Amino acid sequence: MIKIENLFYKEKENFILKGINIAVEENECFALLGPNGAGKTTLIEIIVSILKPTEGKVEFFGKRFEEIKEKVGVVFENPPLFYYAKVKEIINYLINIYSLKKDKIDNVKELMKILELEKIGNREIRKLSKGEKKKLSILIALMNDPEILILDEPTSGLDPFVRKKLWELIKSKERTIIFSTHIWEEAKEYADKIAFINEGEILGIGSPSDFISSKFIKLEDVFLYLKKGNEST
Amino acid sequence: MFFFILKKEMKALKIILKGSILETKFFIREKQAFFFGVVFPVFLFTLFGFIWESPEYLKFLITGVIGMTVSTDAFFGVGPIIRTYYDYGLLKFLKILPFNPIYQFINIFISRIYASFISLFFLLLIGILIFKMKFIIIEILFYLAGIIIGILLFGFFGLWLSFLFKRGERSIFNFLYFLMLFISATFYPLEIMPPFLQKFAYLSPLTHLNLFLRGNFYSLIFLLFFTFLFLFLSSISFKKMELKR
Repeated sequence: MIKIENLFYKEKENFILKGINIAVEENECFALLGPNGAGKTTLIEIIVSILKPTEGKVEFFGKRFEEIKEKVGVVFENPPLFYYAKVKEIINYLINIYSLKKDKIDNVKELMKILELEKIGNREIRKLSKGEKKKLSILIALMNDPEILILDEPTSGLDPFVRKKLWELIKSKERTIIFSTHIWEEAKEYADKIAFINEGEILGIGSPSDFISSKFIKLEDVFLYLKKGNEST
Repeated sequence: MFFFILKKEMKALKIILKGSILETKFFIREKQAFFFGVVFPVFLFTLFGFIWESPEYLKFLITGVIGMTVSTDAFFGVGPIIRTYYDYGLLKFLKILPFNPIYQFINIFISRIYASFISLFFLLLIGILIFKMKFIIIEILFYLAGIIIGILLFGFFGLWLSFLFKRGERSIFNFLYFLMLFISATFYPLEIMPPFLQKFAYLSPLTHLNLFLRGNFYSLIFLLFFTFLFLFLSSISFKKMELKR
């Protein structure tokens, strides 16, 4: 289980996260759904140890991120990569670093085909489009066949067709997944559980079916409902 | 236990070997870095060599050009690059990879050593083929050792300044560098400089690097002192900064 306990994050005088508690079961796909500026990226960056929380802790099956990072694939919203590297160079470098065996290398080649990265193998990363960088970032996250995936807006900036293909790829194997999105349909379709996050607080957690009701036509309806509920308690 | 440690060390070695070659490729691909790191020193040596043909001066000149190349490669090519990694969030990417990001910094240092070795190779080649210079093994060893120590020293120096000054304040880099270049016996001996400037010259780490390249072994003490000083200062300023979000 991935446990996020009583997480606070303060930047200057403002609390970006205010007491986040989340438990993600093994092989569960968990969505962090919220508008821009809700604190999703901050939460993801704390989960993968980029930022240190002001208070609280994150545990991956009882361990710290640093102890199991070989088993975790991560995708950032704006993937930072080596700008002067060519696509093939960075892939080969990471194949070496991960010491991938032949079957996994074949898998990487297959992923390159699916993600249409073969054609741009000799192009420098700084010359790639945002979508191409995102695809490369997803390939890097998947290349070691990780048991856990942490994805920050994994499909933002991609067209619906590619988005669908990527999700098929991500969910092709049982994995524990935490992903952030601001797209209600994406969370509804792919997540087993959704946490609605706004202004650094969790407004509610439930399965998509809990929120699919005739009352909620738009994402805003769910937010208003949860917000009212939180204010009255 | 022993084999576990050995496996870990071997992995670190692999990361450094592969990563430093990759970083050297980036360096060669960056036209400006390649020009100032390899093409310009070779051009300068050839030009000055033809103007002043004296064999004594040519030996003086080649060591000055090596000192200049090493300090340029490291001063501008290590700290500012690591700072760019930081500014563009590349450290985030490094932090999720299965190795300590510090290895990537080591790779940058090593890639600059490779680049200076490439430059040294061409300088020696021109010296031997065009100017009929002769080099003994001990001289070459001083050049190689000087490159390694010089890259570390000026790398940490540049790293410290990169974290001390914002990107817009980088003119301080150029000012400091040219000041060092002109007072550090790079192109002319210290003895022809005014006495008060000669005193200042010994405050410049480049003076000690040039002296070392010319076979003054005692300069190593000053080089090590400056290296550890800048390592200390750069690690303090690095720790002070939070990772950019």
